[in-house]
Amino acid sequence: VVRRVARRLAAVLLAAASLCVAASAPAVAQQATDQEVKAAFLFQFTRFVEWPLPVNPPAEFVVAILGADQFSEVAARLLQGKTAADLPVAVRRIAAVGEAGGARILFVGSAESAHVPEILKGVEGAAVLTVSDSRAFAERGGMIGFRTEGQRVRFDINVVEAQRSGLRISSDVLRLARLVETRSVP
Amino acid sequence: VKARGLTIPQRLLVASALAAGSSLLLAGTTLAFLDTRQARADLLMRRGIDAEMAGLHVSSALTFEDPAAAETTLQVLRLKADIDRACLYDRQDRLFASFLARGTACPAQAPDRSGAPPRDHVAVSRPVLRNGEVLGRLELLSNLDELYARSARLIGAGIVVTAVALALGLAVSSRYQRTLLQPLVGLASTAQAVADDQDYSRRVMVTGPGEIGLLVDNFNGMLAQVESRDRELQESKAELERRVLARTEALNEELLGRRRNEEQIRRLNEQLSQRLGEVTALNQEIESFSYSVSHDLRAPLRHVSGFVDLFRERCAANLDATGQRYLKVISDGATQMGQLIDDLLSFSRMSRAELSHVRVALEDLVEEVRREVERDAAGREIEWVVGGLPAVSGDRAMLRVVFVNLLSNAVKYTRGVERAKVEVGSRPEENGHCTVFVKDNGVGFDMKYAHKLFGVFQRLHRSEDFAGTGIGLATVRRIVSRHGGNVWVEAAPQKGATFYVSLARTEEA
Repeated sequence: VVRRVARRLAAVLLAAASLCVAASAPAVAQQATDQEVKAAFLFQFTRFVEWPLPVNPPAEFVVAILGADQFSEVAARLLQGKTAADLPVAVRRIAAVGEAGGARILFVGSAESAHVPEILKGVEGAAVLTVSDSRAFAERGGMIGFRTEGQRVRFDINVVEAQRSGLRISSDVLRLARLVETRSVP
Repeated sequence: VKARGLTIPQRLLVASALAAGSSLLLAGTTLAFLDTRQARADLLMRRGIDAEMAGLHVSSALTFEDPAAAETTLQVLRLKADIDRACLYDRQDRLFASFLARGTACPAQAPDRSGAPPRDHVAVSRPVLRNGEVLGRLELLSNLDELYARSARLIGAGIVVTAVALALGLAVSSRYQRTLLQPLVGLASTAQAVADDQDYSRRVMVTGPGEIGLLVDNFNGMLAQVESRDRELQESKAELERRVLARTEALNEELLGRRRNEEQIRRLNEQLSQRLGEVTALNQEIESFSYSVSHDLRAPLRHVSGFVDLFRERCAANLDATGQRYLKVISDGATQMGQLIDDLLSFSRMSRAELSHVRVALEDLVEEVRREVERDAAGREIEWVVGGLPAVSGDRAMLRVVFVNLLSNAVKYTRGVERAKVEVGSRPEENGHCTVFVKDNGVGFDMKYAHKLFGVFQRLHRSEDFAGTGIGLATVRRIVSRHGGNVWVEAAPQKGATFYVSLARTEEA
């Protein structure tokens, strides 16, 4: 067991090292970048969220990324080869919400902050976990919204929205999050 | 009841107390030890579970790098009073979050796995897992205060239980022992009493259960046996005493009779010696009387015989034959009377004269006497056999009288015998006495008259046949008896006589 743990640890370290080498900013080579943390969190959410069983079993666990090209690259690199819900993870960059069909997670970049209501409307009723780092995303009807507290990345969760889409978020994550409800945001 | 050291009840009490106390103590100690060990194992297991649970709860915080949330989660552990601290380390063994109830804070870097927990503490270390992935490590440090308190409570309870059990056991056993041991104590005291005063009628009155009852019954039975034997013994002793008493009385009676007899004998002896004295005095009187009579008789007799002789010389021619014959009869009578008086005087002298004690060679004496006697018996043919005579101690003159009498008697009473033979010899000595005999082949006599032979004036033959005065043998016996000897005779008519004289043998020295 120890050996397996050690091997896995080594692999993770190796991945982190290669990720550091590829990073554009050498100053934060030691520390994971904000985007890398968010990508890692995005992947970890797959461990704490239960999706309803789909009618037709898909071949991939699709993570759609809208309006965040740089982040989509980071995420694609970081999540490559990983599995979630026993399916290989596939990161897709989409240009419109209409392309998000079949995706389990939809990440909305802060660039699309102005179009959040439309985007959310586009996936309404589908079992898609909506995540964004745009401001007050969860209050505006999204499910998980990243925000930065000091140096740390934290998140808000709108449990009601998630439940409405048939998703169940683990209490372990809920404990770490600031829980919010949908309301009008100025 | 005498007791060396402790009595049996005390010993039993002590023994049972020791046994119960030691077993309880042993059981209690073992129980406490096992319980403490089990409690420690339980604690380790529970804290292990706690660590895993807490690990589950902090896994998401680790995942999403939220130390504050992790510390909030770890605060739950404050409910466990024994947990001093909890340290949560991330995958790189850096301190991620901690909970500190008391003691020193967590080290910033995860400590070496082999590091032992501080004194009186246990440590559990569990990996924090999420879907099989190691996210970090949670270490709990628990103090053993509660465990020790529990042990102390257990030990205290054990001591209390032991004390109570001991008290209860002592109470029960002393009560039980009373029923059990009272018979034994009764037995001992009864045995002591019996030994002290030998009263076998005593019995042990208390009895007990089981073997003790049996023991008491057997003891009582034994006492009954001893009592009956003792009674038999007393009876036989009384019987014996009675018999001894009877026998003693009989013996006393016999002794009394014997004493009476002895008294009688003594009295008789006294009478006898008195009589003897009287007789001796009488004898002396008679002897002196007869001596003086004999002496006084001699003077007139000398006159008679002297004047008869004168008459015969002067007047013989004037007498006829008849006158001559008468005169001869008178002369013979006077001569005989003179002889008689001489003998009587001799006898009397022998009785009274002082005895001298010298060595007398009988061989010489007898030869001397024989020649003298032979001269008197001139013309007769007599065969003499003399020899082997010893030397004796005595008065030579008196012994000479003895042998003159014996030899002249032998010659006298063999007068009519054709071949006269006189033998003088001796027998082997006995008890310092030698016996000399004088044997002839003369006329002899009937032994039924033997007792008369040695009396004065006793004669077995007529004077016409054999001349004699009848005093000779009386004189012999008197002399021999004065020498402390004895004289006796063996004879038969016409077969001769043998006179025996026993005399004290002289000491050669």
